[in-house]
Amino acid sequence: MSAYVLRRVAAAVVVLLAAFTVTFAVLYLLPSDPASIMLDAGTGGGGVDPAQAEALRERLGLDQSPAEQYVAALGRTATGDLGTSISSGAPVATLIAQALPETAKLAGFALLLAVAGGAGLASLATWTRSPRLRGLLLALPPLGVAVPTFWVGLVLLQLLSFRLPVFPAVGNQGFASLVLPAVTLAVPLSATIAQVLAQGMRAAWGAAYVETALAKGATRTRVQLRHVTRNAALPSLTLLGVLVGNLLAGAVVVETVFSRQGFGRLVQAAVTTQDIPVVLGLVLVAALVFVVVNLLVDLAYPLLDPRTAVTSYARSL
Amino acid sequence: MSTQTPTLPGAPEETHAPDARPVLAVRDLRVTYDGTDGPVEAVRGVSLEVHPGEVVALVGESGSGKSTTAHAVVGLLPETGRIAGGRIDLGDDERTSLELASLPVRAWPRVRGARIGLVPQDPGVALNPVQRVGDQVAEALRIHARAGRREAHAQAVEILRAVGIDEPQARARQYPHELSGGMRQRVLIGIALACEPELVVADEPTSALDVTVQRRVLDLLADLTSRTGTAVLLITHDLAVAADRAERIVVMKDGEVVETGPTARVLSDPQHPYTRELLAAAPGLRAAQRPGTAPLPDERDRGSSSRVQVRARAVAADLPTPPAGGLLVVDGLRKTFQIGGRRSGASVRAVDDVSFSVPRGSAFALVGESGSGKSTTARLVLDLERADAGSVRFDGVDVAGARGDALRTLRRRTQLVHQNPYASLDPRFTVGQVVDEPLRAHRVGTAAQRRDRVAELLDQVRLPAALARRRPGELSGGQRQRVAIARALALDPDLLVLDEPTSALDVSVQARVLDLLADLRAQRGLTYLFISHDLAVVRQVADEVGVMSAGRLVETGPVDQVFDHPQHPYTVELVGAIPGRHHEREAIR
Repeated sequence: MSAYVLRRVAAAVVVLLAAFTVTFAVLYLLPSDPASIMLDAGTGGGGVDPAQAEALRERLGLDQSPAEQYVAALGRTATGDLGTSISSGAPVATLIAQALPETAKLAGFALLLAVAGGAGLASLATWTRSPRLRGLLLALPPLGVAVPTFWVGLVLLQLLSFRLPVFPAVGNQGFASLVLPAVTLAVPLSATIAQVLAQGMRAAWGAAYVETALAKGATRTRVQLRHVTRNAALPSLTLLGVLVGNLLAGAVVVETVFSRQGFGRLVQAAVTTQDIPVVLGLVLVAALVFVVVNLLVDLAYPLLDPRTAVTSYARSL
Repeated sequence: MSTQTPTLPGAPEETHAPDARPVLAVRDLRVTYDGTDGPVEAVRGVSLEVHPGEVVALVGESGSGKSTTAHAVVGLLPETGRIAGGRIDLGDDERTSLELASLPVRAWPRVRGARIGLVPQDPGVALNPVQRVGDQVAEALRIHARAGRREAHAQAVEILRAVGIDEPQARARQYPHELSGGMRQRVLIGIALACEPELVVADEPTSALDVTVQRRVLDLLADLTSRTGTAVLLITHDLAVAADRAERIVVMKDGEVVETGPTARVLSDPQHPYTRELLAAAPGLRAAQRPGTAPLPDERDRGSSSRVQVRARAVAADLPTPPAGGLLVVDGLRKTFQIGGRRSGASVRAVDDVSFSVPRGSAFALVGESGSGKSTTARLVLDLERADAGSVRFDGVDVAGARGDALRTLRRRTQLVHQNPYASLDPRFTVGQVVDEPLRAHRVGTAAQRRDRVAELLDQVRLPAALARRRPGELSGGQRQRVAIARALALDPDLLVLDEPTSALDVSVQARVLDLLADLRAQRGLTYLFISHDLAVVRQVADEVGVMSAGRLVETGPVDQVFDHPQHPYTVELVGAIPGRHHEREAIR
């Protein structure tokens, strides 16, 4: 087992390196110039002095060749130094450390809502014998996937903050400020989970072992809880690993709409100002989260499905 | 058990004392399925009775409505199905009897498991893969409050012991995939009988199992149910199984009961033409017929198939003398598979020192149970797998050494027909494209010539030429297997490797496909390597047979000799397990 984990960790390092390299290449290929952007912002859009810009480029190491810049950045990152922000001068690690907990709260709560909502909807839709209720419930997930996140956010704001002031519209203060953004973030996620889970549950309801359970005298509720859910959860578990990536992407939109501080806002600001060290740091952290979550999912699989225990054991040999 | 007297077909059987109530009485049952073009009637006025302690077999082919009838009895019709009429009365006691056809959905859980047990069809998928088997047995007890949590587990272990599972304590903690198919079916029988129901519905309980396992599982079911006096409704497509196991047989066709009667009477004096057809198609019973017993309903068929064999031998005799030993010579073949990981060291000898020779124009059958190595041998013969040791010589050419043109020629001259015609045809191809594919792959002829050839091939397998434009999904199983055979014949091969070619088909369809294969062999002088687990089928098609067990060829010889005078203990067991034998013994007595 430990050899398996070691190999997965090695693979994770490769993923991180690839993410770093691709991000660096993309940022380098962008046609604009961070030094000019910074100076432009400093003068309030009043024009840039070429000599000043040149000096700044030199100070930031932007005058070096792309290869030199890449090696320098990689070397720094490998020793744990994510560098300093071009625009604010603050250490990138500090910026991320400030932003991450807020987003973790948001994403965690959203994930909870999404799993509960998606699983609940899928269970109800496959459990019910009324074709009308089933049709209605199964029509919801495509809708949830289709509507844009920012639109959901704006509608919720309009209804529950402005018309009925139940929840605060903006900010990071307390649990109440977390509800609307988390719901907004959870809508497309729960819709995706519901779709996959409902499909898995329908397949499970058609399986022979369900007939065996019903033949024992099990009620539909019992079959749903004891036999269908666990079997149907397996493909959704894999999906969950992928959805964490969606959560981080969704955080960019949601944190902007609700004016929350966090990872998403940091990404948005850093990309706008072409703050290369910050963007690189954020990409690395996002990739790390993604890799770790997927590793956890793979390790959890044998716990849910005893059949895979054999193969993962074999893989570790 | 009551006395059974033959009665006229169609007339209600008054074989039981008039006051004895049946455990199950189905009266004029009608079941419809919602189709796209309105409801389709799958069961049309079925009536049958099962008396306490009695085993009644419901026999028919796929689509006959036998499975639908069984599912109506346990209240597990699919969502599109509903009971459109009739009664299903359960219980031989006035006070506890229940009418099931109109039983509300909510009342069913108290009936299923407690009063009716179900033994499902395919033990491979009928157990929850993520739950320990002990828990699955215990659940049946827990649902009906027959035991508390802890006692339920202890009782589950006892049930596992009762159904003949060794080390039940340890097995109870295992998951279904860690058990063999036979053991899983034992677990399912344990579940069905856990609450001692008055009726067990066994839906093709052994059709997915090997023949010796099948016999042991059916023995177990018979033993347990006779001990508790449980009545059994046995659903089967296999008349031979019904003959061995049931006291009465109900034959269904197209949703209707065509014949009912005591087993001995139905087999010796079938009244309905369809029953006669089924009897003729059942290879086990056909082989079991002896001169001097009841007149053979299948005399004509037997005549034609033995004539075919004679013709085939004549064709073989006309050919120039084959190179020493035969068209296909297999010598000392070995193949070992690693299981688990590379370093775990565990390995299975799939094929262990197998040697045989198949003369040109003859049919050689490899029989054995799953895991015996017969399919691996076939793959080695076709060079789809590399042997660790030994050689396969086809017409004097070493198969393993063939490269380039030699290999292409080899591929042309040896063709394979797969077991499952539902999986071996590309669903996106038309039938014509399927049959044409080998021709295209070997660049044979022009498009027009190939079209003619496809039509000719379809004709040879007795399919209408118009079928060429249809897709496999629109065809029946028998038609699909004919298409697969036509594809195998496209390049005019010398050797056909037939890997369980009829095991996915209904008996009457199987009989027709086997006849086709016999005719083709006679007409074209083909050589067959026939892989099968079904000894009755082998007896019908093969000249020589090799019996495989655990990778080794334990016995080889002419079919009649091996089956009538088996030498190896394993062959004795295998031959003894052929369904239809019980019945044969009784008939001789």
